[in-house]
Amino acid sequence: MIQPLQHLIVILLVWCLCQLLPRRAGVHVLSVAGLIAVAIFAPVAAGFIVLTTLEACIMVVCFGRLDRSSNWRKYGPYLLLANLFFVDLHYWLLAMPVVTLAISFSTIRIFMTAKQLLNSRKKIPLSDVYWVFPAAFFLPAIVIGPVFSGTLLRDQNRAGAAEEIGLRDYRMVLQGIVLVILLSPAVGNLGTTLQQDVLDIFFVDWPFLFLQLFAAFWGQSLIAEHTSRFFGYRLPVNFDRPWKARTIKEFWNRWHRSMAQFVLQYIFLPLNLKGVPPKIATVGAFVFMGLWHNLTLGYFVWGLCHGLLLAYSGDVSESRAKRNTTRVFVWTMVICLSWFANYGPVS
Amino acid sequence: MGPVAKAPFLILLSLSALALIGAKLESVDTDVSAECAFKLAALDAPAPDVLFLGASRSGRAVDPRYMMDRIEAHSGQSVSIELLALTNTTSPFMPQLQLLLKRYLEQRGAPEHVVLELVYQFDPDKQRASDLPIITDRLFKFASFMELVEIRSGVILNAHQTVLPRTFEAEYRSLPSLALQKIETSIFAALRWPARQFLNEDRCEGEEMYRHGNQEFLYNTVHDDLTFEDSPALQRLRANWSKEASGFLPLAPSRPFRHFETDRIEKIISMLEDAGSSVTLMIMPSLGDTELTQVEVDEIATVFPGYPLIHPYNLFESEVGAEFANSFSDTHHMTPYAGLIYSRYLIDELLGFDF
Repeated sequence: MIQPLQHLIVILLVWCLCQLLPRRAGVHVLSVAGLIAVAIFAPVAAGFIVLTTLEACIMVVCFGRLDRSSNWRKYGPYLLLANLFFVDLHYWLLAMPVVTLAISFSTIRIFMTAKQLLNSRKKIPLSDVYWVFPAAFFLPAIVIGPVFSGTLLRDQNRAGAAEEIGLRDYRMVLQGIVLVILLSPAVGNLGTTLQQDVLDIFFVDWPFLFLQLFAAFWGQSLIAEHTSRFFGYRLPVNFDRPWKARTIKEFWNRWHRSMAQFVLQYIFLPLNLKGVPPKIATVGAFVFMGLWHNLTLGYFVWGLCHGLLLAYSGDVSESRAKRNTTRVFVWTMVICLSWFANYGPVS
Repeated sequence: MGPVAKAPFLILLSLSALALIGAKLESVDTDVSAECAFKLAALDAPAPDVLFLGASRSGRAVDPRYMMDRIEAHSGQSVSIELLALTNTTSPFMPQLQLLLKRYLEQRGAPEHVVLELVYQFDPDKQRASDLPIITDRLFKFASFMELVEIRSGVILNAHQTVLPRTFEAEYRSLPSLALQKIETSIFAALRWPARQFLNEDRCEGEEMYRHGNQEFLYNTVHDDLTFEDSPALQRLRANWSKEASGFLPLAPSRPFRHFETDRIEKIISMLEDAGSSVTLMIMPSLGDTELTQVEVDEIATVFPGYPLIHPYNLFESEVGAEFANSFSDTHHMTPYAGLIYSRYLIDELLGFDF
């Protein structure tokens, strides 16, 4: 597994190389570097993502020739999501553990790119099929996302104009490193110490374990988002001060936003358009998200509960007392479900 | 390009400087046992007459201080004895032991006699990846990058029935990933160094170095008054440990799943012989493992021909045999009482050595 500081070093080395090249070459160099980095740290994952990329390219070329109303063109790319099973089933297939780094996020990005290209009203130029590759291996996003379509990179590449790197980008990268390297393990250790040596109550470490996950995930996301700006590319923002969330809806508007938007756009909406009631479509979308994290009963329950909470939750209440009660309930559920999915008996 | 836009160069330069400084500092946080073992290897003292080399099984069964005192008291002979062992044989134990021994021989010279524990992984769950040259913090702390490359080269991986070659397995590290990890570790070492200086941590002071801190290695620990401890609670624990230990893998140095360890033991023997030490092999039993068959002895003799073999299996037949067989503090570590019995037994063996 590539560690955050190693990831940053590789990105900075690529940045130095890119200074010798035209600005627009950056995305291509980053993608090749991403492929090399994954191959170095997780060779099987690199091979598998290459296969998924080729699969998506073939789909785009073949389904792109069909009428836009064709079910193959509309739903064929969903077959790519079956590749996500490799992460959980690889031991059974290969009789040994391999590093599956990057597969979960890359597969989603590859799928999004294929789907967006096939949604196009115009004829799909072959040159556009190429953008599946940067979606798969865009270096800043290989470890932990965010998820986005390769067409986002294509459009920014074609627009050409890139902002100068701002001081805020450095601050955010530094903040990301501090969150991942210092805060995340420190909070985890604090929780374990409190639980084992001080209070000896079995759930006392749950909030700390949640904060540990949050710090690691947020930090990695900040590194991805702001180092990509070094090269002139803006990625979707994954976290928007989630601690401000008062309801579960607000939580999912602020937490892992790129993935939440993905399930909304690519799972919820098609189900809903097919006539599935919105509440059931919401539950279905979040069960998918749970199983995308891990093919375990723990994450199934996590997805089911988040889906049910979202489907049956109301808007922000006018009453302050009710707002506070909802907030406490939502955060308690979020923390408990996170523990159950990651550390619980069926995790 | 404005100055702010050039800052990635500065960040990279700063990280490079930290990596260069950190490479010279041994301030990587690692476990106390490794710390003490490497400190022992770096002592400014000549090598002892007898060196026990192995893993925690030896550390918890061999009391060098007790043996030296007893030998001197009984025969008037002054024999220096040391134990050099690492804990946690889970994985990449053999490369660590190789590096530790290399340091020891370079700094302290060759001991006259080395009693080498046949260190194998016995827990089947842990055996799976015990051959992969995983690089732990211990190795990053004590090895240079070139030493890491050397340790990794010519690895014979154990045979498992896998679809892909085992070099694709999760814990197997490619050289570029090793290089990056070494750089990262050096950066952390540089950042941690001021805190280390401030805290002035020395967890291996005096006799603690020989006891490996919380690892409870024996050193001036056993004494003749120790007795067998038993209780219903201990019996229940032993029953559980015995059940677990009954599933342990056999020693079997010639079996395909032992290729890696056997190859590394051969390399360690070569290092010792090249340095001028004579080598004796030693087997350390697990709980419930009370018999060494002739087939096993023959197999060891075939794989490691010509080396004398020490083992405590005869003790199980002695009058203290039942107590000795039940004096384990887990599935494979002896209690101090068993350490006393075994250390006494080793004294008799050592007295047969030619000093």
